[in-house]
Amino acid sequence: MKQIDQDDYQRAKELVKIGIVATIACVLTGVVTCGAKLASKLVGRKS
Amino acid sequence: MTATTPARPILGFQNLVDQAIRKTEKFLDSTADLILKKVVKVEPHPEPEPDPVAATNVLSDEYEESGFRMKSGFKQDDNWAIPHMWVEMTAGGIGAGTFLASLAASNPAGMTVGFALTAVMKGILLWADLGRPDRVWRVFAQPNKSWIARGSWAFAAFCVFGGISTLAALLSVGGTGVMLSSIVAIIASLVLLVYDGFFLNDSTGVAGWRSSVLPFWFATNSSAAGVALTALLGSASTGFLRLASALFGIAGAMGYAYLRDLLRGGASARTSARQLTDGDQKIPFVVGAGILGSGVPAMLSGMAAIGVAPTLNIFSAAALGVIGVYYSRQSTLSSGVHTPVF
Repeated sequence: MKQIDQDDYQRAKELVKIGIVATIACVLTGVVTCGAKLASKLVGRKS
Repeated sequence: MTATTPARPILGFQNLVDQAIRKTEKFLDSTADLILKKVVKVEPHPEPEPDPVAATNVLSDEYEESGFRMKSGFKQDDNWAIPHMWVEMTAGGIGAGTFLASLAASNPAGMTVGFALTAVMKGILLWADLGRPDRVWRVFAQPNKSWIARGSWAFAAFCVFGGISTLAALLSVGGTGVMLSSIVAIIASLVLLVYDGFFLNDSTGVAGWRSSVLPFWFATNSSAAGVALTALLGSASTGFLRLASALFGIAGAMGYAYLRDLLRGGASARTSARQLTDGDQKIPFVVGAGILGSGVPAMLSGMAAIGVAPTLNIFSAAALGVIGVYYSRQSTLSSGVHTPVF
């Protein structure tokens, strides 16, 4: 395993965290979008 | 005999929210470690434990170098630099932006999402943040002096009139009452968009939050994310997508203007700026709020406006817009530095 500087490791970790948060945001955005579209269809209005 | 009031009457609920956020934070941390160690196959050099005084108390030795002796150095703020606040500000900002954009586009689905984000999600986090929930009425006092009071009135008005307007839109009900309710909800949303920034402006001890650019940067990136989410929820007209692209672009420029403002300020403001450009907040500010949160979604919504893969581009722009709002709050709050005492 390659050893890197503490600072570089922390920066790499922040980048990975942003990637994970972006993935979670994509999933949540998808769920909210589908949910909202479905709900508005159910109440009889097309958004 | 006087009855004693419990210090935190809804401690269980507050703990629940607190624990959920801490667990999410731990999950992010351990998953990032796992990916770096197992997938990228890198690990940090083992280093000696940092000096706790140096690590917590002195973020800059600017004054020491000039011959002044500090009783306490530049200390990072630990009241607001917590994930709880970042999530609460993100939900409130995006909710208000989405509600406003959806009201303008007559999009009931968007209004519902905007209302839920602000009234429910921000509401839960605000309530969990109260030290003494039994004295909540006190935050409404003196709206002529305090941004916390103005924000509380705006939040309460949004919950009532935003709720009425959303319900009316869902049920296709109109009339003068609904119109008046929508007007009050619009005013409340506008206050909520700038509230976080002005509230931070009031923190006299943290020079990095006193910039006049801050409230408008926060309002612009919240609006951009709101317009993109509204487009995603069914109002993807060319005009709306162009508006989203322009707002993302302006938000990026305002983030840069905020940094420039800090660099022209005093030593504490410059210490905050260094945190954003070279310190712990470099990745969240430059990559999270700047590149991924403003630059890329500006480009993606612009591409959607000219008809290039519109569905995928609108979806990506909206999700990245959310990221941008979150990381703008995280980096700004975490780079807040208290002015030293001499």
